[in-house]
Amino acid sequence: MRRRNLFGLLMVLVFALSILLTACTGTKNAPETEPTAPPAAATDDPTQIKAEITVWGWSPWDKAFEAIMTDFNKKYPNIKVKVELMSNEDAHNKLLAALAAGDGAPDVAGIEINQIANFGTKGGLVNLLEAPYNAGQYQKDMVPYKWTQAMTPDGRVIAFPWDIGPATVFYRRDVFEKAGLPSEPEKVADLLKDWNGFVEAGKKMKEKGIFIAPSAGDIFGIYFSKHDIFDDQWNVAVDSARGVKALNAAKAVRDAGLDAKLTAWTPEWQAALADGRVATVIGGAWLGGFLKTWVDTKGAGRWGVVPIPEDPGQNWGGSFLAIPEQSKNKLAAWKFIEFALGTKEAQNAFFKAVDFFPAYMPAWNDPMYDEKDPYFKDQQTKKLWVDITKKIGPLVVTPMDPVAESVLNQTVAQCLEQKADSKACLTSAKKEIEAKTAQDKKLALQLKNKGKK
Amino acid sequence: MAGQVPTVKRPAPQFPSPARRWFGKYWVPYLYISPFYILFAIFGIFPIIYSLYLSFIQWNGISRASHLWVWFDNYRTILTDQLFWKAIYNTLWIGVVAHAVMLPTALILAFLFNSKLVRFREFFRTTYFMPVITGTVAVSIVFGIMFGTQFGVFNWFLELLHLPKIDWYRGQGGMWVKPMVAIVMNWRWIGWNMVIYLAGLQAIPMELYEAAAIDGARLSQIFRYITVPLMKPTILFTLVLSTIGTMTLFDEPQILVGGDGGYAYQGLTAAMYIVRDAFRFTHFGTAAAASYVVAVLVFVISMLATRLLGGGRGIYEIEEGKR
Repeated sequence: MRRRNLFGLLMVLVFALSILLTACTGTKNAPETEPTAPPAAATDDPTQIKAEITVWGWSPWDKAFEAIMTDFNKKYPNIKVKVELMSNEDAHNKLLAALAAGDGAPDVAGIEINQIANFGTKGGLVNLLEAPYNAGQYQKDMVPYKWTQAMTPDGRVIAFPWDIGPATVFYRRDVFEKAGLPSEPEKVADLLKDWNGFVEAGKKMKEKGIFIAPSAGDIFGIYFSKHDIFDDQWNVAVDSARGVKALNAAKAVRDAGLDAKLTAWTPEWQAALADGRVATVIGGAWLGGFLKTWVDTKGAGRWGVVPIPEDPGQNWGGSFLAIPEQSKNKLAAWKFIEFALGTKEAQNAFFKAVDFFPAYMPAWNDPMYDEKDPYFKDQQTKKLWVDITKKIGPLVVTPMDPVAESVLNQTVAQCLEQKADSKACLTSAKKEIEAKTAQDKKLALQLKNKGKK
Repeated sequence: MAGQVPTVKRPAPQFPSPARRWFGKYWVPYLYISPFYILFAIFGIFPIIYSLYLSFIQWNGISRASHLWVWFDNYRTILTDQLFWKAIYNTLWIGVVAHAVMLPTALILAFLFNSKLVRFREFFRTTYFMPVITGTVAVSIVFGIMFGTQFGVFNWFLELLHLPKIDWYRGQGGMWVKPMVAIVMNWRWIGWNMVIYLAGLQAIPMELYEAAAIDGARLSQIFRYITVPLMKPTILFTLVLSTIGTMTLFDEPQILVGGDGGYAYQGLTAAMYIVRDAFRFTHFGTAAAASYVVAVLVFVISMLATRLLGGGRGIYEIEEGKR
């Protein structure tokens, strides 16, 4: 009787222990086999760095990294890179959860422009200005507005710039022709040189049952999507003359029934663009990559690119790569980031693969930028994007952006649907944003002032 | 010396304390159930208590050092936030409307499938239950496509009937968002509730039905005077489950209309509000406070439901002769 109890007890203990152990396992990153001496003693020999690093990102980063992996492994044969793809939202939520938990973060984390300031104030990411990263040496090579975005209010650089999104209008040449409009880029650019022209073109298309834009909200969004909701003094700036003008342009499109009221990135949106039921879509240079890889995979030769009407110097999107403090392979992670984003070869390889426009300016010195892109019927798209980048002024991102953006999107959507007055709409949006971001702003200002001391 | 039997020295008998006796008697069963309770303590109880603590502090989500005790500020922020109350309203609206259709339909279906009226009962029972085992995310994505304004199946169907197309996501101030969510919920949960009611129905003895039939009762009278009263405990059970399920409703509206609840926040449920506050805006303090307010609400609603409906007698009470 005793012996059976003992055996049973043993089984239960083993069982309980095994459950507990599996529940408590942390990340399985293989730590670097480096001396734990101060990192300044880090070896200059790339083959000495041995590690397996995880990178978190979203589509189409897998295709992007594929393009540079062989070259990267030629230089760093002992660093293995594992790319984990997830949705854009998940990548940020999971990163936040991992940073809060102190465990589970990747070695390289992708962060998008709308979240960068938010992550900046929270901590948990390595300051790349410090040794052994010394990212400051790249500042002169980066597009200035992109560099400042990666900087926290107290002067730390917590992520490395990857791409910028010089925004353009992507249009379907065949759909324009079907509507009886010219389809060559020069002529289309002239047609769409201002928002009135855009509306006129849209009316002609409506007669043929075509929508010119997927959503009128995009037109407002170019100016305020993920940036410039606040001015450089951190006051809400959406009700400025610029904002009212943008919202009026969006309203003109919506009131005339020229947009398809589709939500971006949904299957309906993608189907409408692929089928040609919507003639244009506005986005950053990276949208070209999206079109090629999943939106309109059969679309080669029937798309073109023109600048945005009236005020073409706009930026839409752009990402960064950061290193969480809890990573056990920080040096290897940095070597990967440096190679991928700080060299002309890798950045251009990305551009070739997925149309991510490098924030690394030396990369632009390449005959590739004069190339004709067959997907866009041999148009010199990269040249156009370089031109537009030169027109983009400084952008303001703040830690209050996520909340502000949520409020702004909702208000603008309602404004367009209810056909309300633009100035009144934006003033009420401003009030709501101020109310909802007051707390965050106070905390962020504290951090900013702390850094100034 | 030879011939002497060695005596074993017996220790003086000791009487263990009551505590030790209890331990001696119960430590094995407790050990057997410990795996569950240890896990529950870590992943169930700890978050509940830590959330309570979180609701009284301000925290940026990452650094330990930034915990700032703010007493009831978070609760005040939540209770004065119009959007929070809209989220509660949305949640209750969806819950009430969805279940007003779901539960009676499930009961009628269960009644039909329990009777001899319908052929191939097993097939129907199985088919109606199948939605329960599908994944909510995949289902919501597919329904989202079907509710598409321009190219969706439902609008195509409406056009066929010469009815105007409905802008499910935006139309008329976003008033169709909640019915859309309710439809998706009904598709999933009618079968689930039907199966529970079936079980409840089968506990009603046939003699009652036979007696009623002899007395000349019609089917609808049987349903109204025999089935429903005796099903009260089962109905209460499904109501409580429905309440909890509704207050935690997240997957369907999140996928259908996005994290902000769609046009004019019409699809924002309480759970979505909390997730949005905690993970998109990293306001962990207010999100924790909101989750406690919601928990209290769930408790109150469940109590009300039990009070209103718990007074009925089930078949077991009748058989035991209780009043």
